[in-house]
Amino acid sequence: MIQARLVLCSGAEASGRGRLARGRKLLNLDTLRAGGNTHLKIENVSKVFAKLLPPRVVDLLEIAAYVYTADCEASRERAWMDDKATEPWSRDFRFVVPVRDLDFWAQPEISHCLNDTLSFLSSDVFEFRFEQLHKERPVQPYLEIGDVDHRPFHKIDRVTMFSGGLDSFAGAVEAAANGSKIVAVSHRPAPQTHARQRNLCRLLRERYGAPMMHVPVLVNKHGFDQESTQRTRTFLFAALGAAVADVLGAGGIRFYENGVTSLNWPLAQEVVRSRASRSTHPEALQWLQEFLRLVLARPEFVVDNPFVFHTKTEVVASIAARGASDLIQHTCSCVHTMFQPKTQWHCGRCGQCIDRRIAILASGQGQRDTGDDYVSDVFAGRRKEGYDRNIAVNYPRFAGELHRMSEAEVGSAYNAELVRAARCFPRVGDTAQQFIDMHKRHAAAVCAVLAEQVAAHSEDLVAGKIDRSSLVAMVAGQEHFGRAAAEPETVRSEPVTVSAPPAAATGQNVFAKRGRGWTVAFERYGPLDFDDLHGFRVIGHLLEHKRERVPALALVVVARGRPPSAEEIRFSDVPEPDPDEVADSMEETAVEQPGFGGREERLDDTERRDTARRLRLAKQQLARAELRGDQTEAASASKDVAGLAAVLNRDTDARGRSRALDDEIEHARKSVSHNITYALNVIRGECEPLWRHLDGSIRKGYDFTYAPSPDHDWITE
Amino acid sequence: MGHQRLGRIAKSRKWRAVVDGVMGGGGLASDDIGRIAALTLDAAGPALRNGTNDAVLRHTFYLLTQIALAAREPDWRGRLAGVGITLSEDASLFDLTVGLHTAVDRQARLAGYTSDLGEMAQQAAGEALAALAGNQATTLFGSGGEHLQKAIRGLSTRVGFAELGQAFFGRFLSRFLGFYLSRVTAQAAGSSRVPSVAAMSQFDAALEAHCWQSARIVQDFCGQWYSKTEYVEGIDSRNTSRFMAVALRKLSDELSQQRAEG
Repeated sequence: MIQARLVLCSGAEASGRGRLARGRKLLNLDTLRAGGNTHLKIENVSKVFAKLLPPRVVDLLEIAAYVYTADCEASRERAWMDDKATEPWSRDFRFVVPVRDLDFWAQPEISHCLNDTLSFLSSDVFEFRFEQLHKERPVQPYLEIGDVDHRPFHKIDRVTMFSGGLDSFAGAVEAAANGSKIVAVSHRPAPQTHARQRNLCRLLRERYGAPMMHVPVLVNKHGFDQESTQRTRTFLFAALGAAVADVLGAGGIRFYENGVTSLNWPLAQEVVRSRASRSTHPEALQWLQEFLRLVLARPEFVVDNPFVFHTKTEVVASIAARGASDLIQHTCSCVHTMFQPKTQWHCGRCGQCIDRRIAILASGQGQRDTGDDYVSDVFAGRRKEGYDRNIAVNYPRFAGELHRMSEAEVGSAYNAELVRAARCFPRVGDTAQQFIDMHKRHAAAVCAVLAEQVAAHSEDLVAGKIDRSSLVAMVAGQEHFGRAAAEPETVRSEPVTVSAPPAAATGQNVFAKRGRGWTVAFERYGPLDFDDLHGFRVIGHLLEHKRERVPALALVVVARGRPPSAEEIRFSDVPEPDPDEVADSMEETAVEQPGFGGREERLDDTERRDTARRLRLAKQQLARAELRGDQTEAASASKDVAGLAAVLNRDTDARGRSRALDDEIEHARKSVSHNITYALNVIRGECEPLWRHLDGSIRKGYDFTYAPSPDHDWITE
Repeated sequence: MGHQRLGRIAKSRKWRAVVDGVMGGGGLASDDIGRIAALTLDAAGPALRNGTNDAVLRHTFYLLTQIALAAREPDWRGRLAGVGITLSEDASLFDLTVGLHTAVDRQARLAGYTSDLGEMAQQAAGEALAALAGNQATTLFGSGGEHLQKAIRGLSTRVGFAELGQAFFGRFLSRFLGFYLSRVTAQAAGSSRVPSVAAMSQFDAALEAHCWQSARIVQDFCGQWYSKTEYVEGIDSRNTSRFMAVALRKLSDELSQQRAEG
């Protein structure tokens, strides 16, 4: 287990604290003493504005620095408990902190709000004891402000939290392009990071001529690097921003983080509680806002994130739309900033590198982020066992599963995560739907890029030249290719299914009309009785005609209770396909994306809107490139415009509306889909495995097919 | 994506057996899922047994019983408010799950801690409620007010609550086992048994189906306990705690028995 900590701060004495210290490891932290072990350079803030910080704000910064340092000191990596059945995660901190404004900090509601904020961020237990501070930090001389005129920044709307990654850069670009004044506050953990942040600010000033001030604040914790997760880092970051905002009289602080990252839904089932970072989660921002309002005594103080409903792909697209795509190469998303060579800023193996690369490719900005910047190729690079490989399988798996789920399934499977984010907004239901929609867009973008990458590496995959530990090999299942020639008998291609002894009574699958209802048995479940719903008639017909494409019009007749005539079956004039082809196409649906994979399929409404949006962006990019005389970019953008316009024209009429198929066929498609969905929901309530099987085996569209894989036989009479 | 901590499975003889079960030679056959689930529960058993003392887990299930019971009442919003779940007149099913999670989170803050088991139980409860009631309420986000109460009333009978209990325990068990097994399958990705990302998804789906099926063992037990306890003494936190202990033991025994039979 993780031993509880007693953290004595700013020279608080250990003597006379026997009860407080019992069973706890003692940790002394000091930022006041010269040579102390927690380094907080408050002059980074105060010198710029030539103004002393209020005592309570100095208390806040010191508390945040102590919390962050203690967080980094107490490792979560401890031996599992309870006979190796429980993984340690939560820690227990008790702080003794001398402060300047004791009357304020001693109020119970302040402690509660502080504890709740930190507990949500870290899943740790916190307790604070505040005492009167008797010594002051040594006076730090103010440096000359130089030629930086800070007066224009007074009373600005928001102070921007600026990390130098893609999202905060996109936020700064947005503000600069709108002509807003920007004060960008950065936590400066390492010199390399600082240099990159400073360079980005310079480039933004040059590009947009926007008034911009960069305030880097140095906080480090020499010798306390045992825990890398640092879940309370955002608290420190927000405190720094709030201090600057307070000095300037700004309306609040602003994080720029795409919504998928902000909500940070678990990629795998092992990711429980703060194992997924909550640094810009809407609830975290709400807690921070409440706490900072109390500390600053400003009820109107706001902590927000305008990108919370945007995917990372959309965020990157917004950079390009504002003419700053060439600056993308100066941003850094990798978590391993301290360990990368100067020429390559991205490791290519961490989740942030995967996310960045996919978003950049999905937004059509691949030429702005060359693979050379990555130490290891994100898609084809070898991955070490452990985190590198786990993230490479869990990232695409999460996206693939999200992409396959319906809105209701997402709302159910991620219900707790959805609720915690949506309840922070006024219209909870609408917000939740927006979050679901955003995740679906993210999943579609990821799947499209992965499909492209698999296609791009297909020859090497088949030839077994791609490293088996790479992301693209994991997605494609290269093990099949690698072993197929050598030992085909060892490969079992059928997917895993539920443990299935013979069916309850007969050992056979039954889906048959019996009397006034339907009798159903599946594997070892059943027999079960159901009412004679239209959907059961349709499903029964499809099971009876396994692997046949049955037109929607014919199934409407079946749903009404009579078999379709030959004419009705012929009506849609669909040629009878090769059964193997149908089976193949069913298997392909896991990675194939409508509208992206090159199939001549009609776009649905979302895809049409998305394509239209991408076309607009490409046109803007083309116009800007032509304006700048950048022939290479203009050629690339022109190609994108032509391709997207062709897709859109194929699918819309002269007035931009969808080329609807014949109304009757469309109506039939919707009606039969509804019948099947309703029946499947009824089945799900009684026998989830059967629902799962049918839901995965019935292909819908203008014709319907039941194509099970592996094969299942049914008694239908 | 934000940072996510992906860990490793502990090193012990029992966990080694689980890893061998997942990574062993040849393809992953149907019967293997049951065996792997049982091996995992064997290794993780002490954590599950500790769950009976988990205040958040207990309170989560208690709230499920109260939601079902409230649906019988004319003033069901009043009764829900009594257990900390606030609903508007036109509340949707999603609003109800918001109420559930908010009440559980509040309880966790009062208790002063959160736990992995409590979080899994909370997720399972929200998922079960949304999925089961969703069948009756048509959609997660629409059909509010009386329609919602009517949908939940379907879960307030002995049979209805038995179904809700099975859905809850099945999903809880699946999340509990997945907490461990997701590390092992990720480690095994690329092997002949888990050759691709899609195979991992299939493994998870099969595990979920297996857990749902195994939870049938507590289905009738849930319904009978709910019906009898409410009639005799009223359901409260204490008898919920005792029930949870027995139900979790039954689940555990069921998986062990399947392993023995296998």
